[in-house]
Amino acid sequence: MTDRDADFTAYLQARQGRLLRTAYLLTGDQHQAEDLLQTSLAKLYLAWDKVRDRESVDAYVRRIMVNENNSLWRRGWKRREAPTDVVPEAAPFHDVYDEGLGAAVWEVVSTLPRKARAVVVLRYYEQLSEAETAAVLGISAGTVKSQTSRALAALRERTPADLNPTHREEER
Amino acid sequence: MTEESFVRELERRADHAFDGTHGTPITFEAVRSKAHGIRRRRRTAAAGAVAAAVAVAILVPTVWGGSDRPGSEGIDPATTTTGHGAVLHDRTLTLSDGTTVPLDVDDAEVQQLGVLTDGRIIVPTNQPNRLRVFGPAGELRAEYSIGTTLIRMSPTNDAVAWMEGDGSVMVLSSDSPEPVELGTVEAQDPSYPLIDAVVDSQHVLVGDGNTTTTEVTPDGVRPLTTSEPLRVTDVSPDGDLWAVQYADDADPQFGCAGLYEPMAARIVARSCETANLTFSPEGQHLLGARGDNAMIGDAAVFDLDLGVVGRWESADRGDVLKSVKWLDAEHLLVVETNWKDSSWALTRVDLTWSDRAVLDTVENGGNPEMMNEFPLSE
Repeated sequence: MTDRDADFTAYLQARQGRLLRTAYLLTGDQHQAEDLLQTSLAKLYLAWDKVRDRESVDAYVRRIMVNENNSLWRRGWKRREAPTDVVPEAAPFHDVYDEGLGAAVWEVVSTLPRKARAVVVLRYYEQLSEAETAAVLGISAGTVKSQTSRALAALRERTPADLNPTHREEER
Repeated sequence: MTEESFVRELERRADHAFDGTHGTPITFEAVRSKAHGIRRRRRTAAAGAVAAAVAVAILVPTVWGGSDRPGSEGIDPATTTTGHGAVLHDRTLTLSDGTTVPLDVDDAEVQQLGVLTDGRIIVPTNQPNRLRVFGPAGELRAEYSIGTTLIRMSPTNDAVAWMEGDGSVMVLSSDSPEPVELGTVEAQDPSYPLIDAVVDSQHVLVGDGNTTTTEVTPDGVRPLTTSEPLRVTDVSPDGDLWAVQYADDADPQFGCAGLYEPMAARIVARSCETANLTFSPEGQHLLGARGDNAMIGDAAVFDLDLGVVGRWESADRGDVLKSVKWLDAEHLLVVETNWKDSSWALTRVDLTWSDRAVLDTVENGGNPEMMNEFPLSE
């Protein structure tokens, strides 16, 4: 194995767990998440020599994942190819201890438009700042802020009153 | 619920989905294999192929240029085959002069095809990788085993080059019944050599998929020296300008495009708004196209300063391009498709992309990620 491949393999082993989870939150489907991540890692591999700053690799691959997931042709054809009459491999995720709060959160996230969903995932799961999220998505920080606000507003609207989230943007 | 608990819910959901009982670890081998597939699709489908250019400056009427439907009246039967504007559909190749040639190939297998100036038709297919050479009447004349299903035509369409599995660069010229081996390029793991461009039948440029690294001529195989790392995507008809792609932080995924003067060893025009530039037949304009997953999301025509002359962009309504190639100095042939309704259309547009004529259509066509209803000649 070349040094280049060893370098890439080390990154792959160290980061794929976390990246896979991000992919899942972006897609909402385990198989699509695996497929999205593998494609994104393949594109990262092709561009490995261009990513000169190894500390920016995560940001780079996140951008690929989001773009890939937002790709109009990808989502169109993947959707068509997805079987609709088979039982999901994984059992439905039931929240049994939080009075449905987790399910409510996930339902809101799942129904967000893809780009807004990416904002939420990057901001709240990847813990990126507004500026970092904007850089990954190629949009303005203002757009990040407004989409975050809309997502949280949707969360407030769709969850039971006693489970409403508190929007604490000012604390960040 | 606080923002912190919102974060916690996302983490819990993601952890549950991949708690060690779901998912298979992605291996390096799987990533590399997928990367090779992506590289092949990018190169064959994103309009990055060498534009087949016509040596003569006089343009003749074509079937695509003179009518709204292939095979309709208005065809000038005296026109000559240039290699431009040939379209395969339903196992029939329609040349730009209106001539139709039956071809014993499955359209769905064809990602590329070329037409030499002597009328021979070159069709690479995979599974297994092979290259078939048909005569002008469609008869199968020869079949060769090839390393990658990628062909490159010379700017004047008088030669086609491909790579054999052992790195041998093969060239078939219009003046020769059989291909000749120009040289052999050693593979550099993890990449393998790919032909980037054919300057002429005696001069082929080879790269590793990212960068054009090697020149192959009858004098031997030698490293290509350029002012900066770049990949040659096309050569002008006179050979004085190369269309190139180079790494640039402005677009870390695809890089930027430029025009390179090999004699002066410098890039003379740059644009990060496009990729995979190819020269028009007379060399005065360029076509650029960007896309992924074997489809195109935006395409544009440029002048020699890389100023935009005309542009097409997806309206984000399922509309994409499968392919776009030069028809003549003033027109492009475009394969449009829409994944929402599976419709396909073969169209002709002018340089400004404002004059569009529909030439043929297919309803309920195939998946453009996998196939092309109207393969166009390089």
